[in-house]
Amino acid sequence: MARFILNRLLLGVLTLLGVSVLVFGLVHIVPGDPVQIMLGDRASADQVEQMREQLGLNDPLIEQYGRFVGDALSGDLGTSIRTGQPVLTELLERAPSTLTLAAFALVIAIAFGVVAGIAAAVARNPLVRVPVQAVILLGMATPSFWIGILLILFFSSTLRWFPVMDDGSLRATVLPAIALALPAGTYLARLIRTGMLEVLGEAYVRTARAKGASGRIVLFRHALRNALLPVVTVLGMQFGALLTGAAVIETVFSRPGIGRYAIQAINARDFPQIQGTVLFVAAIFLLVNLLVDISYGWIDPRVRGQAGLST
Amino acid sequence: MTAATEDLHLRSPSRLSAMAGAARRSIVRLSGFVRHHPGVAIALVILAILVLAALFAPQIAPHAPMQSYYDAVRQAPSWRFPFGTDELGRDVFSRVIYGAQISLRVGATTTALSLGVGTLLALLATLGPRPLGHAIMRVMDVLLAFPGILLALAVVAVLGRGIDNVLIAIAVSLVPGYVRTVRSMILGVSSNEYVAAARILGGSRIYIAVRHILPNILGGVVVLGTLGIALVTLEVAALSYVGLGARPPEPEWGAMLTVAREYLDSAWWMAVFPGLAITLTVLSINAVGDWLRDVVDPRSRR
Repeated sequence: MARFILNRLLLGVLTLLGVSVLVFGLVHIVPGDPVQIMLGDRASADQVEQMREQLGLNDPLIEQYGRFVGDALSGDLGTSIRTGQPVLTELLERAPSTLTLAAFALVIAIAFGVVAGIAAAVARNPLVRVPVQAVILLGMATPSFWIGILLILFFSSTLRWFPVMDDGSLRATVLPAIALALPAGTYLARLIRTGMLEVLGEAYVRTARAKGASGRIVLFRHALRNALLPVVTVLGMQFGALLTGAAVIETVFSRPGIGRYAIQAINARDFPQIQGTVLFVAAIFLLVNLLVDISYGWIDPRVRGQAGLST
Repeated sequence: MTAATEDLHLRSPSRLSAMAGAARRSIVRLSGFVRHHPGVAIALVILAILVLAALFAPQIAPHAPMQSYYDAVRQAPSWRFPFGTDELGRDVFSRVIYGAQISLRVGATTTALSLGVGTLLALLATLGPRPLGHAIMRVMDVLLAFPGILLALAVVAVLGRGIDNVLIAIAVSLVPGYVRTVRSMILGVSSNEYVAAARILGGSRIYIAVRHILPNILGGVVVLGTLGIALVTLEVAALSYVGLGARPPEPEWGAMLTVAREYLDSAWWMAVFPGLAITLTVLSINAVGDWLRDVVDPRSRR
């Protein structure tokens, strides 16, 4: 087990290193002069040169990359051009809002996925099964930001149950979390449905039935537990999708989170903000997936033997 | 189809009745398809309407997409404006029709681009020199470490916003996943005996790739592509919504929703119809894609 964890840890560090090369390269593959883009057309040649010097863009690439990684490791993700604030400080200010939203959405997605997935797989009554399947199909086809807009239209503008704008309260997190949970929830529901249908045909389920176990025990103790295994693997991926999906949902609900910060940074072409955010989110994503991998290896001993590289 | 062409070549004097028979047979076949796959039939009809609307938008749309009627600003749906008008008095119905043009063009181009590059890289990774294969897969592993649309956002950051840059960005962000999936399809096909036989008989790698592997993964790739268009449509709309892709006043569905968000209290139709268009499009493409998957790989039938 220790060997497995070490293996995964090493893999994670290597990937993060690759990510850092890419994020560092962002600025250098920009067509045109990034500094000119950042400062706008009105900037004088002197100002541009001064900014280049300040950002260290005149040094050799290797040196710049070394400094980039060194700074990042010591908690310095650069300074925003627009606000003059350290990017890490800005990110940490906004992280709680996004993490609360994503965690909330993850809970809703899992709850919906399990209930709808089981219902779509085992419900005999078409009055239950057909609407559930319709909701799953619709959920896959509906843009989450449009659901967000519709939720605002019904529950905030018309019924006035929830605040239209974010006021920092947990109440204001309900609607955006539902909208954000939609794609992940329907994805999980489909996965669980397929898993359940597969597992219910297995010999050990038949054995349990033959031994006289009640339908509920077979369903929950034998079938669901095994149908949930593949779900654990995709949870990390889904959490990542929630983190980036938040960019759009935060814009819809005007929430001051990391996602909206990223969109604003791209719109303003504030490269330190962009680089810092991409690195930050990718690092969180890698960490979450590392934890998922380790817990999966703990749940299912068969996984430990595999190195995990797709060669 | 073959039956129909054969019938046409019959020299019998009753060529007309033979043609009628062929027509009857194809109608029977069609009604059988509709009965067995009602959802797919509806989806195909919707897609046909969408494609026609996109192709003949100038002929079909009752108004020009940029034409403002200042006497009719933010009017509720009526006979004159079936989907209502927007904040500048433009016909939402016409704009939704023109939006189909943008969405279908971008969806098809992006998917073709990403799937083409992905398939090529997957072929190189499996059939090319081993170190190259390893290098490709390592780079893909790193790219897959960017969750969701983060990679697309990073590419837009480099290229700058605009619908064509979003197209490229989404294509780039989809390539790593496609390389992985197509690669496993290739590995699956390569384990077949006919590939080993071709190899033993001295077939070159390129010959085997073109003659044996590509034809056998084509079905799977087509399914990936169909479902890919649905995914791309959703992502393009989302990126346009946040202002990175098409921007107002362009009649793109996502961009229309950006403006609609500001008038939510007074003009619900501005928010409802473009979103409905996205959902209907994606729903139909998904239905066709799922059906194609069942046809290509009957084992995956759910």
